[in-house]
Amino acid sequence: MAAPMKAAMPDNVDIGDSFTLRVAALDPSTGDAVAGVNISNMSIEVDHLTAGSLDFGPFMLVPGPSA
Amino acid sequence: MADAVIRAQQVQTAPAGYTVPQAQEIVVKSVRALVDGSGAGSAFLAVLQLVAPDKSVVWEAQTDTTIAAGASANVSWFPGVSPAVASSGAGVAFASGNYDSGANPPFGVAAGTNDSQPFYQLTNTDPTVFTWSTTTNNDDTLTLHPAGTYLCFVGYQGGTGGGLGGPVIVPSSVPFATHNYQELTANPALPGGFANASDYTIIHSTASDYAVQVIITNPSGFNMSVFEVDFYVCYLATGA
Repeated sequence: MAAPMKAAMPDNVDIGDSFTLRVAALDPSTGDAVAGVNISNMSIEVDHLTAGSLDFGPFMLVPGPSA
Repeated sequence: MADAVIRAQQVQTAPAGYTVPQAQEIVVKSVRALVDGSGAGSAFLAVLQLVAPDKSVVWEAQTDTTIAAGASANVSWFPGVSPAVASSGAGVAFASGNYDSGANPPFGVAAGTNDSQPFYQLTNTDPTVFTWSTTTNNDDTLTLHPAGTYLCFVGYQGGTGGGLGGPVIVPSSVPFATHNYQELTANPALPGGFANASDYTIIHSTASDYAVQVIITNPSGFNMSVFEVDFYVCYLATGA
């Protein structure tokens, strides 16, 4: 069972196309990437400001109740 | 403005994330990910990054604590989370000294004099913050190494000194003669007409290695015996 953790992020993060929101695993002393870490079940709650699809790579819109 | 959730359907190797498609714009409200460090060789921080199209990192938001090698965490990022107070990870640094006339050599203050309180039963949770040393009497000086804010308290039980005197917490650089004293009243709950007294202060040192002592003052014409003294200091915050 993975331990729950919470962290602060900036408010009102308004981002446009070609920007990437990603999760990295960094060494706390050096800031270097730590190998051997996997990311799964990544979910991003957003306000969608434009018309069109947000699907990209392995990311897909979660179907709503009426889907 | 439509609220939506986009989710990765696959396990990805870190760093992993979502790139906003062409001609799209979103406001991010929260992010959650399962960070699996079962294959990691060392402890790490889970860090949310915004990366610009030119691959530069615009900002980072990291967890307050590290995830151990081999461990996993279910991490949620959202606005309004208060960062944890910086700490050594071992709690607040703390030092204390005790004097007990039943276990330690007798200590008294002669009429019309002051003397530094000796201590024998000592604690010190962080030697980089505190050091006990002897200036006049046994371990009568506590040096506060980092400049910062310290909460100090001393409790006293002993003679009344004729009604005046008792413990004060002072920098060791202050001459004894300038010390204040307080009124000591016999505690009817104690045998022999002895008194309880205390002193407490917050020290904000602007330079490192600030030395403090507990001075027992006795401006009266009577000799005064000390039975028990407990002195506590907590390191609250760093910085001059």
